[in-house]
Amino acid sequence: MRDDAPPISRLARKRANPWRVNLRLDPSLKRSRHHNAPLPSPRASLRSSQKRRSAAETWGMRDDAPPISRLAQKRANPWRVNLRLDPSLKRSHQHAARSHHPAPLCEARRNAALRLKFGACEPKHWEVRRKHIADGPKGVASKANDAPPANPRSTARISPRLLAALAIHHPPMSHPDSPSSTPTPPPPDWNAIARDADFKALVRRKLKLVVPATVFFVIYYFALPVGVGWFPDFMKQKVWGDVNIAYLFALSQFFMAWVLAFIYVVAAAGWDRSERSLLAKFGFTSEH
Amino acid sequence: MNFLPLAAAAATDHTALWMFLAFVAATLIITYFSARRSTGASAYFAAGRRITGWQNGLAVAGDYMSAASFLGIAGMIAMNGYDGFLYSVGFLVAYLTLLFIVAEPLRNAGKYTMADVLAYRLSPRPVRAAASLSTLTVSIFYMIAQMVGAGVLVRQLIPGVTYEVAVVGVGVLMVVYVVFGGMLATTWVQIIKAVLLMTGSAFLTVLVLREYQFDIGKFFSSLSAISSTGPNGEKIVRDFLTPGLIFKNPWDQISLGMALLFGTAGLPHILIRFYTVPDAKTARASVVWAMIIIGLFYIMTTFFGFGAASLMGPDYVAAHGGTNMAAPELARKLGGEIFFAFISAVAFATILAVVAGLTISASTSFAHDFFTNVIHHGKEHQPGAEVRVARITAFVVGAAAIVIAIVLGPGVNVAFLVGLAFAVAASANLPVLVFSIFWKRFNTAGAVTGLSVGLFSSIILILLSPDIMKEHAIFPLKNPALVSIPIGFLAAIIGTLLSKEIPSEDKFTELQVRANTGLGAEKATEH
Repeated sequence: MRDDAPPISRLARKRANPWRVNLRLDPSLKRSRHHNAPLPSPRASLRSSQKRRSAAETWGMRDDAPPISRLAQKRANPWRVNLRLDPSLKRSHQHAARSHHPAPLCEARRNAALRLKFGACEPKHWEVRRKHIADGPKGVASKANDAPPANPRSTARISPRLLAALAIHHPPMSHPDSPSSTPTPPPPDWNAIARDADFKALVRRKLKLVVPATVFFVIYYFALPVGVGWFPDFMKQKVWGDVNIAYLFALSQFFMAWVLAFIYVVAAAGWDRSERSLLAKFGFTSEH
Repeated sequence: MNFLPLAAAAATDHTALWMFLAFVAATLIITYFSARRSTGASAYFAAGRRITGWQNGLAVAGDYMSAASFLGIAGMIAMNGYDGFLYSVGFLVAYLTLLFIVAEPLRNAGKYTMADVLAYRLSPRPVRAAASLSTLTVSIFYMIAQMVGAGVLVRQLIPGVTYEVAVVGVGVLMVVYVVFGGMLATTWVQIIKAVLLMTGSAFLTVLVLREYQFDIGKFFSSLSAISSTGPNGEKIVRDFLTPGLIFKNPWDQISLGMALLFGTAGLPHILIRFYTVPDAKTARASVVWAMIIIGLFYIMTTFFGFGAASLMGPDYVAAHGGTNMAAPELARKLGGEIFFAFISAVAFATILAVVAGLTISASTSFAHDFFTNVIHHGKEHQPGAEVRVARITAFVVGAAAIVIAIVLGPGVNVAFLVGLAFAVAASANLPVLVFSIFWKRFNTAGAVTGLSVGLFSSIILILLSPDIMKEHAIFPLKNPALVSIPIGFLAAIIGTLLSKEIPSEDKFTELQVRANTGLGAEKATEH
């Protein structure tokens, strides 16, 4: 199981409920998975709420929205029944309430309600993911739709926009073997990427630098022991005061290494840009 | 100039001991806080993959610059001049191999160990078993060399401490760091060590140059006529900038150069450091940081190595602890007892950081490759079992290293153990890493053959070398890399071609895309 997986019970995971898993929970709650682990500290809760606040600002969620009553939240949240969490999490929630810090669950509900009521500015990369969800036969939406909905009432009331937003909310899987109830993004079509002209050009550009640079530094490096071993008289010639060619040549190896490393790093910055645009073409980001 | 009276100065001074204890206390506090965050496999084995580029660069440098570098190379330069500097060059240029060929594909395609990359498209169990054997061999032999060195060094630096006590102390500390603090504690111990080492070296360099009024030309001129006593008691005067004072056989230099250049990119304790960063871009940045730090350090070794030769003389160095004590004795002469104590503590920190890195690489390889993936077919039957096994392995490896170092005693030739580590890394690990990333046809048989033949050929050739057999040596070179590296590559090629196994093309394609784009690479986790 992934280390950063949300703390959801095994039973809950077995239920094919696409909503439940989209709750990205406070990382500090992870410890509550372990029965004996301490509850999250008030400081941790505060830190995570600050993180969420900044995330909300990034996603264009309105912080100046009017406060919503509990009833309004209930009405605005058609899928609240699906927000049931692992019982162990309730302790964390209660603890957070006791310590006068906003509980992650409350905030998650509030955020969802706000998004439903007031709408949210949609970042551009959501579009790409939504397209995947809508188009891909192996996509999140198709997997989610195949599963029997836990609550038909709530499912019927969820807009496709929220569906996409929630899918984006969840971090992508990082390892193909990791089991999770999360509806995973469509797996990359490795062959399609490998066949792509941009990918081939990227590999060619890398090899065009790496191969000659490697040949150069190997030859340059071995020129030193060869020179010292078989041409000692030449290497002993003094060129600056008492400093001879052998010492200067050895010292030059350091600068050669630094210069090659610098050239590589500059070139690699260009490759990074190409990689990003290549991944974007296939609907992925560097976060995948 | 006669500096002999200086030596008697502080035989009973305990400043060095207090500095040792201060360093140990600081690292134990770090370990305590790291232990609270090292929950979960990713946190324990890879520090949650949240180490930044400069931090990992410092940690790589701290992991790499061993006591052999700090004390050994400075001493070799002090005793034999220019030839000692050839080691320094190889140690730095080797990082280009790491930067160009290994670091980024490894970070993009692996998880915790080198074997993750090898097993990606090959049959995982035999490949992981062979890779784990190779990793354990390199780590344990290198660790024993470091511990024997630590025992000898601490005995010289702290009056009253015996070899056995020093070895047990170093062993217990490294086990505590790794068992409780995991990769995070190890990383911070290495970062602190690198900072201390660079600070100490820079200060020592400035003190040396101050003796020559910061005139570099004058400094090098003083090296043209260094007098010392020859093997038959005669006085000899040598130009310390002239090559050939140690290496008489050019093939020895070539062989050593090959081991350094290609061995570094196969050292398991260096490779696993690239899993501690969030992505390949940071891995690349960390190599560059490491190259800057390591390069500056090795350039400085020439100043205090040559400085020891010109300011104290080889005879003085030989009479006061030998080669390894050149830098601390120079620090005592130029900076007094406090600076001597500081440099001694730095040397101690150097050893601790390296053995901690070696211990975690050995335990990670056993737990992840052998226990989880070979014995349990890649499944973790109980949550946390992998980390638990790694902790037990760290304890066992530490205990074994302590026992072996004590049994071998201070007189053992550690040079061949270090040579073995580099030679095995270059002959066994690097060929299969390169082929698995770049050769589509490469298969399981090739990987297992390459690893096994590379490993055993290195060991056999070292056993037949002059380091072990002295004048009856069957193999003439001190380092086997010149022969064992081609053997390792050839074995991997022949093993592949003789096998009927056709590796999956799809998996190779996947590995290529992953290695070149970072798509699907392991991500950082919250602590």
